[in-house]
Amino acid sequence: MSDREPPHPVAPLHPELVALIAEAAGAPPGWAELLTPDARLDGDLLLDECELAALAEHLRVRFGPTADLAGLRTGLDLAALESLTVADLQELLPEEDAR
Amino acid sequence: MTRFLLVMPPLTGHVNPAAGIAAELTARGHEVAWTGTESVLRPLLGPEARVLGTGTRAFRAQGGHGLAALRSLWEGFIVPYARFTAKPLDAVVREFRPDVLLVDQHTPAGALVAHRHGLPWASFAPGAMELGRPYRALPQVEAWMTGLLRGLWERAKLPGQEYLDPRFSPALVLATTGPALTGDASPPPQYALVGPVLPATRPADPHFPWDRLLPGRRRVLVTMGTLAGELGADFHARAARALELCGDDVQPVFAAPRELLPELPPQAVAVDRAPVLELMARGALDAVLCHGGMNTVGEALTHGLPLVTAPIRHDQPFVAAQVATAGAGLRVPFARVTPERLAQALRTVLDTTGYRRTAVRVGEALRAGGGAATAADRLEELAAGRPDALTAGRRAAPPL
Repeated sequence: MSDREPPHPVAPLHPELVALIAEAAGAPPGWAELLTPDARLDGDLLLDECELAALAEHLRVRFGPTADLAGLRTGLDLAALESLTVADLQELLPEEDAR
Repeated sequence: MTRFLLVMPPLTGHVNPAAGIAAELTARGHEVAWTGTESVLRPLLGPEARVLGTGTRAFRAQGGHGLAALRSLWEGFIVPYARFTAKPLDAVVREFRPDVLLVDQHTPAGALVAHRHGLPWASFAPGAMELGRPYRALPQVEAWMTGLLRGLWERAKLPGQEYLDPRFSPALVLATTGPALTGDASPPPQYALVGPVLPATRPADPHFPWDRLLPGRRRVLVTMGTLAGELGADFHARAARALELCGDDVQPVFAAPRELLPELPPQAVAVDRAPVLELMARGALDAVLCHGGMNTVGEALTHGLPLVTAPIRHDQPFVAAQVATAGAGLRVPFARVTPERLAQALRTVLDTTGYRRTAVRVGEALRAGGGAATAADRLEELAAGRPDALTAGRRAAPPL
């Protein structure tokens, strides 16, 4: 996990989002409990391109087409991709789910 | 007789398969020279090989994970190495006067110098990194790579309107994989997916403790490439525990520096470097746990061995995904897999005949690519054909 301070207060993580990240990561029991909003998908969670593709698909199936991680990443450069966090994923969730 | 110049990076996993192609070309009466970092190439190629050095300089060690590793590969190795070797390569081409260059995808300077001299060149792809455009879903990442390559093109003072991606020769791309893994049954015609290129002879390794291979056990080779430091020790500790959990009927063979290994059970065999091909050819192995490097995967599948892959960086996640999709093995997350889950994966590939059967089938399909013989055929065709678009009257290159 990152030891960086989150830049601003963020909502608690959606439990299903956490579960989907853990599933895509093939993570062991307990791993998901350590997830924080400011954890970077690449540098902290060490998700590779194949795992991120799986996560994008999980999000789309569960939360619908607006939870478009693949679309979000398409528009980002290398630095922005490296900075992408769990909180950024949460912002993709439909409003009624993100609360 | 044709003169082939092989432009290779100082990376064992790239030089070894190219050596198989070089041996085949030499056996056919062609003249082969290598160019690159002699202090790395010479020990790998032996005293007989003709090596035209481009100088030695330390480059950033390959490490990290994911996008950081990608950035490190390009900004810490590919681009600076290309800059460092540009002038020496030009001198090598003037000295050796090759008819054809075989240029590794990690050494774009070789393609630039070939273009500069109007010489035909083929690309060599010993991994899956560039073949399937793994970052095609990230256009800005692809644009970043293209920008770096265009920068090298401009630095070489080549005409901008003639720009070609130096990773992909329009005449020939030799890759040591095959449709059974890539899933693409109809690659472009200039792509020759020749499958693994294995050495014709396997020198016996008398130093390996052959007498410690116990009869009646199933053996798993653990080989994680050049994994080092804490990262390596941590993974090997989990792997050692996983293999213990597999039970007494499984004997692990670790190929890793001793300092990366924990205390091992008495039945485990541990060596710094294992004679991998010899172990496979003798039928001494039942499965392989590796990082998903293309060479190890190709060697294992060629010998019908199922794999458990724990990919770390670069093309390894993509190769690991290909193996899993093909049904020839399982993929586990390198950073997160627990000993229990790793043991489960290992037992699954050992106990389920489907993985071994598929590994045999995929291995046969990869071998059908023809390996070094087909690679040499295609290089000879390139030398004979001299496509107009590439040679364009064999320019007299101005000095750099």
